[in-house]
Amino acid sequence: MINRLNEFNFIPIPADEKALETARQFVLEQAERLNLPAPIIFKIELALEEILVNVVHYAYPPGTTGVVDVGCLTDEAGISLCIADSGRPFNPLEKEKPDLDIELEERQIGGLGIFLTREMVDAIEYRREQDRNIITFTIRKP
Amino acid sequence: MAPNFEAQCQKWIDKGSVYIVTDLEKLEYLSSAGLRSILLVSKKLKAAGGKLLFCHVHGSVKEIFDISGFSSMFEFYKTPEEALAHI
Repeated sequence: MINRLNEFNFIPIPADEKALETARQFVLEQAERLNLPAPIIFKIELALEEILVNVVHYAYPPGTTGVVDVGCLTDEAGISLCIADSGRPFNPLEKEKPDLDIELEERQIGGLGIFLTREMVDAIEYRREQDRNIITFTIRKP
Repeated sequence: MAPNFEAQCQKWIDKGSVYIVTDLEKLEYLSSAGLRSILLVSKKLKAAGGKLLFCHVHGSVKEIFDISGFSSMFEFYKTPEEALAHI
């Protein structure tokens, strides 16, 4: 998918706490064309939230607001999203899988977002290119 | 939603509640932010000698409980009444 970025429809969004709502509306409008069932929409929303929230929180130094580009490509196979920022290099896919078998008392708060995203998507890739973090993922139609 | 859930539960905990039954019948979305709130609230209740219980967990929300391992950490019931009978 990363090879087809020129086909994506992109919008730039300030990477602040309102970014998720703006991105969600943009993506859901595009997804509407595909007439996807609710469980697929759920997967799109979840993956978008987890990846985007990471960018908003960690890409840019505190007190500064960068831009996150959110792109969308719909075709007969399904929907692909691209989330790109110009912040510090960060590959969320390198995060270790959280331990899911431990008792409640020992469970760490957080760390589940990327794991859930991987479970929701059919493919996901990260690339660092021209000082940008570029994440693309695909969710196929059922 | 997650911050609201956390704030409401905190109010009840501050008033001395130790058992909270959460009815998820109308919940259609849950991300790691929600799981984080659930875990925080649950740890507080457990430390106070109580627990967090759930009912009507369904669909994609149930799938998130399952794949995150949360399904094995909590008790699930069909109705709030059934949950209340187990505290």
